[in-house]
Amino acid sequence: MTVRGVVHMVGAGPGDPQLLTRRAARLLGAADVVVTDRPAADEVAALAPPTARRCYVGEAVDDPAWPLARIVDLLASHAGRGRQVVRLEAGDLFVGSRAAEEVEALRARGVTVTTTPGVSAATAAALASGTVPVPGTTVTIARDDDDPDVVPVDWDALAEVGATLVAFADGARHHEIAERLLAAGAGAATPVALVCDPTRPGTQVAHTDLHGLGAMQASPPATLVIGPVRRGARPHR
Amino acid sequence: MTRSDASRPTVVELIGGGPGDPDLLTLRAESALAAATLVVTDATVAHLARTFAPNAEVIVSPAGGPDRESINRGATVDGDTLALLVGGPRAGERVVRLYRGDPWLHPAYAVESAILAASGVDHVTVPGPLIELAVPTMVGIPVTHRRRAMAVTVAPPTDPPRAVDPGRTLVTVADDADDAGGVAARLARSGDTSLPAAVVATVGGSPRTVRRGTLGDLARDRTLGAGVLVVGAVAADDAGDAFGADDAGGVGDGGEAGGDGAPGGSDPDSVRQLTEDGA
Repeated sequence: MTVRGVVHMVGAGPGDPQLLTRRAARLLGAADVVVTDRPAADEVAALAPPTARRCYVGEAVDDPAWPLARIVDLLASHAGRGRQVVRLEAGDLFVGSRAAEEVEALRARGVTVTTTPGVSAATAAALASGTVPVPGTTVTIARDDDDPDVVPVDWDALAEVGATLVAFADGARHHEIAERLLAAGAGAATPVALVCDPTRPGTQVAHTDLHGLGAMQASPPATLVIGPVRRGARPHR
Repeated sequence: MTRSDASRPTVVELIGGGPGDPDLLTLRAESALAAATLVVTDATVAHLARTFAPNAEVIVSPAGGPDRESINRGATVDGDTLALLVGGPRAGERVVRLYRGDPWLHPAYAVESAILAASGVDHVTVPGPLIELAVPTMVGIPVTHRRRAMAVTVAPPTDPPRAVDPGRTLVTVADDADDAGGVAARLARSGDTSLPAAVVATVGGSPRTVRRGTLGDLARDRTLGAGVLVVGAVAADDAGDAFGADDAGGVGDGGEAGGDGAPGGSDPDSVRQLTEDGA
């Protein structure tokens, strides 16, 4: 029986392999090739058979991240040989990633693609922060990027009173996010939680407010949870 | 049902069950359900509890949510559910509170976890797939896209934002009691009716069909039923053609297609408040 090659785009969740969906685990278990951005996803990729080929396409110590076209070439060429290819993306799959562009490019080449959602890194970070949104209000998840080809996030429009914002802040973007929200009328005392590595050993959570966020010198890549009330009356320890 | 064994440290697990599709249960949720002796759950995901926790007593919480009524009432609390959770597990009992979607956005989670904490009952919270992200993803609709929208707003169906700005996707859930067309109509009253939009109709939390059009088109359609409404440039994405291919070739992934844990006849509407098993 001939097997048609497929690229399965899979949301790997926030990090804990136990947070993979059943479908994601099943696809990994049948994978011939697993393509990830970083060795950080190794624990998740471990669900693939030991014989499966592993490919890293993200930024490494000596190498920049692969350009989109090269990733698509890699995925398409393995699928073209009849292989089951699993492309792992962090979190839910699409939010803040280039998965949508990879899907478009693969389909344009006639490659069969499936899409499998994962647990969102945004809600995992928000849960880890110990905060909860005000019921009945909106929650916005956003990723900032200074790439000129990427449609910008309209932070001004996100400074709504009472709404909750979860932002993936790479590098020093937290300064600009804080400044723009404050300039658009958000209160300086609006609570902010910074979360690193949710659901992983060594999860770090820090609490501040929008004013404090803007004043922060440096921050590792963190997920910012801006605006919700904190759970319970106890201050963060 | 309220009793406790103070001598034994016990844990209640508060777990996100995802939209209701058995394929989207996490491995963590699956193993917790397999070991559970008591599951307190929402009507919308009660079929998951019945399938994956066959040995557990399953109790459906009227706190439900995140349906429209729950959201209107704010953080809903049901006294019986809380008594079960706060009473704490007896020796040998393993209690799971299975939420539809992700706990963080569930209207009952804040109050239930706060009361557990105040009552000194150890509990852990486990995230699950968010309905608003997972259901569109299953049919290939990317809720963010670097050339179309890098922000996605998850809104309650009753109180949608006044406008959807460019560069941002709006997603909202219409439950069985509601209708995706009705939700689209509420949005259309205050928004731009020419915006691209899509409704992913769901049964038991699993996607069934995708209808695309402008927000105005969908607002006039009263045949859509329960589903997830996506508004913004990503809703026009051609990637949505994936649905047919995914559903036939990829989703089922071969031999296991529909074989394990398919919701079958467990229509959420017909789920009774208390189950027979163990009662």
